[in-house]
Amino acid sequence: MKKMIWLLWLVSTLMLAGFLGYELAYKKEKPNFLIGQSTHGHYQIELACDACHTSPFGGEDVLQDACISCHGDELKASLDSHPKKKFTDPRNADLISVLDARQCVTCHSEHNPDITHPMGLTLPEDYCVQCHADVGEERPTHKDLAFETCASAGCHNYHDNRALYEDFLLKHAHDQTPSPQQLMPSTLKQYLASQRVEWPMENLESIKHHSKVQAVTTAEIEHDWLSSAHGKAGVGCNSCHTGESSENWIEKPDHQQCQSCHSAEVTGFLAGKHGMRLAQALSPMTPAQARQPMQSDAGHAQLGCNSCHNAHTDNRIAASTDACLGCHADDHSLAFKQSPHGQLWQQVLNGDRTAEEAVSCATCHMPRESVDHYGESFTQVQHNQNATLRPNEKMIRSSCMSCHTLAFSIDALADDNLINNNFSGSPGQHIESIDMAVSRDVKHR
Amino acid sequence: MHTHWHTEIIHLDLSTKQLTTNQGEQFQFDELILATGSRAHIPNLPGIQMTGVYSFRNMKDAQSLYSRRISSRHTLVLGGGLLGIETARAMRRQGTEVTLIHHSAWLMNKQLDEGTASHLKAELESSGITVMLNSAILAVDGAHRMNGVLLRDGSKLDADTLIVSTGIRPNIELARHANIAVSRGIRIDERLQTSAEHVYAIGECAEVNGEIYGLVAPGFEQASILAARLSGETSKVYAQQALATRLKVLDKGVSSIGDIGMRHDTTDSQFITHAKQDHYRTLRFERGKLKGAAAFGDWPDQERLREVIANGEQLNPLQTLKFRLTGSIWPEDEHIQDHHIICNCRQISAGSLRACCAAGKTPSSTGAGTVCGSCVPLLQQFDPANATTSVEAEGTPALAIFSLVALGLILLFQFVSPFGGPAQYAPDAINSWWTDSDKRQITGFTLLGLTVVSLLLSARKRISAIKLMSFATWRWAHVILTTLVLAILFFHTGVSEFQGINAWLIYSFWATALLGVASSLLTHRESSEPSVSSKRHKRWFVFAHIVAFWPLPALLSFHVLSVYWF
Repeated sequence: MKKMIWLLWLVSTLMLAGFLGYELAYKKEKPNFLIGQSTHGHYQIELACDACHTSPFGGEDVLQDACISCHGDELKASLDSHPKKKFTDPRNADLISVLDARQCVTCHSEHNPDITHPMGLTLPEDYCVQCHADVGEERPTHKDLAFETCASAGCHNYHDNRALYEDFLLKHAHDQTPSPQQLMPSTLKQYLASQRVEWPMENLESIKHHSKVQAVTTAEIEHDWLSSAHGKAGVGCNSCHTGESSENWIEKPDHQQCQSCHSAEVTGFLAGKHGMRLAQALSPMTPAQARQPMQSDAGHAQLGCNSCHNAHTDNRIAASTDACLGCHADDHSLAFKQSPHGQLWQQVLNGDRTAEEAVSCATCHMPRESVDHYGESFTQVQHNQNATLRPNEKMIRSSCMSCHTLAFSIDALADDNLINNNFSGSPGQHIESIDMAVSRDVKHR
Repeated sequence: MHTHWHTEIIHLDLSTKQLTTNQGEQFQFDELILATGSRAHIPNLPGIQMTGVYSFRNMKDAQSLYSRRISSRHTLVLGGGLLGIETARAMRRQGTEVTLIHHSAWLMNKQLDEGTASHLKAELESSGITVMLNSAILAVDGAHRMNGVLLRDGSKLDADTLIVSTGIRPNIELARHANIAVSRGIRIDERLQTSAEHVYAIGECAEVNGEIYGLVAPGFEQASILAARLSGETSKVYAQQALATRLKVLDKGVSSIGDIGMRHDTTDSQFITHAKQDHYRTLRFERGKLKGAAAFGDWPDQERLREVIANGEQLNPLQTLKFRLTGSIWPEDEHIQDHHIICNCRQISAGSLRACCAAGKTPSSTGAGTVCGSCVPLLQQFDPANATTSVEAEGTPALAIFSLVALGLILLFQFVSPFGGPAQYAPDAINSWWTDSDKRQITGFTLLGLTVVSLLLSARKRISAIKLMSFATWRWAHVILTTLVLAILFFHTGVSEFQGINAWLIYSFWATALLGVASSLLTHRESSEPSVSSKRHKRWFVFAHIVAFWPLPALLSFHVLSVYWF
């Protein structure tokens, strides 16, 4: 009896260990080893531990590499105000004892919902004061400001201050409201050529040679395709629906097919919230998994390129707003149609205005960027909807300032109510960033 | 004391306090006790005087029935009371058919409820006796010898023997002629005195509040009370007890306690029954109050139940529920039976202890009581001569207090909200204990170490080679260390929410701790009132404590592994 019980204990312990060990070592998703809710930035991929913990027993270095592998380029592009090299500089060795900013996880530790602040910060929010307590000596305007005001919208960020640097503020201090600047999209042919993409030109006759195409093509598909940019550029059925060999028919081409021509867009898509699960080889994101409010009937939609871009048409108008509102149901999204931005967009839908003269969801969240590539400059849409979202001052340069002054933009983005009602009204508060910069500038001169 | 054999009192003169015997002698008395007993009640039926009709009352009856048993082909027994049933049972043999005729709707209708009686009937029938209920004999048929009977429903039953057991008739003639008050029996009051001064009556001839007892137990009780009164203890009175009869019928126990039976089968009665293969038990409640009980088959609770009913006490709802579920009301432990484990640590049963004492050795030579010592008080019952086995002062009240501290910590954990981080930047804030990885390793390995050291208690118990310090000391250390573990858990976790294996781990910790607390409290109780039942409960809780700990080694290993893995 006693022996049996000990044996039972041993066997059940080994079984439990086997179950856990298998999950730990071999499973892609490890729900039993998730120790706490992840931040809004990582919750979609929190079960794919290997995404960040790339090798077992790696310690801090592995984690640091993981952060940088996804966020490194962005930090570089944002002219990081507190880069790692500032802290590895021997002259600043004393700073490390105050805040070891060589490691991302010093400030952004994951799975700690109890101590997580906005932006995934897990330090007490007065961390700026530890080094910058004497800011008032050089800048009398900053004297006696409480620590909560450091990082409030329109003042400072730890990393990205491109729209907040003193020089930038001064440069745009006296701007008049600009007239909307348009970035005209190049044609698809030009675009593909600029990407050095080569493709066999197809036309209505050539596509019919494929037996499968004949079988599935309907008049509607044919019409949609012919009137789309793909049709005009000769990108036919085989370009997307076949893989390596023309016999390998792909019923539903995914982002990997799109990537062969639209690599920058797909890269952006995979880097953002819409594609980050696909980037980790997990199942596609669905609105049901989201933490933000979503339309209840859209819960099981799976996010891929085709969620927003219809397969055979190239309706950018629908993709830039209707597609978004089909899922998103937070206050900001729901308020869009009644907002001034939404009213302008309605005029586009009515045919009274061109899309370039109006504001869609994509105008701000997937802005058009001018990119230099292979020595040529062309326009491309940033498909990482998160690239300009947090902190929201990032949006000032890429979107707001196309139509608004810097001062107005800073004030508007600092007003949570205004964001919730999708900018229906005037900013409820004034951020003194520009005034402070100007007063100091006058004194120095 | 003088005994006059073969002498009958034929006259009683109360005025002169004189009595006359059939020998012509006269006696003067100061106190007179009538214990004239009773005789069998023979109903006045046509033909009842025929040969082949017997009563079953005295030795002579027994002898003639014994011989009749051989020759009879079909014996009828009239009366389904206790005696009738036993008679039917005794007459039953291969080749003798026995039919029991009872006037009422169920057997022993004065003592049993219908359900118990139907089990009794089934048992009788399975032993080959035919039972006829709601039936009666109108006349005995035959010329000189009986050859059958005429039944109430008009049918005729052929039989060669009829045994009448229709109850008793108190012998009251002597009293009646002396003008002592009688009804069915000689009426007596609580002093056992008849209507005449200095004349008493006891036993089957006496009638108390309209009741005549045909059983031996009340008679003995009356006799002893009367003896006490006559020798001066006049304060003693005869209180009519809730009658508990514990009968042996067909080798099965039949119990009847308090007000139960057909007379009490009223509309405001409620019966709760419990039936099992070898028993059937009934509690009778009247307007929610326990009034009586009956059982077929053994019932260890019946003595206590009799006291409860006699004192007008009630069962609590838990006890009623326990009866519904298990058929017993109280744990049947107070008698230590051979299969009861006395020493939990060494798993020594009472049986082996008795065998050991019978062989002249001390109980501790079996190893019992040498580990935790909590069974030592019980061991003394086995070997009162050697009651010198030293029992250590266990300090169990302190043990109980410490357990309650542990319980408080567990409960606190459930209701405290997560500690969170410090509001202001400070590298050495107390919050760093649950946010800083180095400090969490310190607390974590401290927890692991304390848990492992606490486990040594288990080794001390199971490995007899370890004799260092007393078990009580080890238990003390165990309780203190594990309480410390619970306290450190606050720091290690920061009372955050738990997910995945960490959740399993903390649940395992809590369950183990809760059951440990319960075990400690039972240990405390055991030392103050040692009994087999508290022993058994403690054994269950300690086992559950161990089962709750069961997955902990695997979970803890993976917890530690995963921390370094990620």
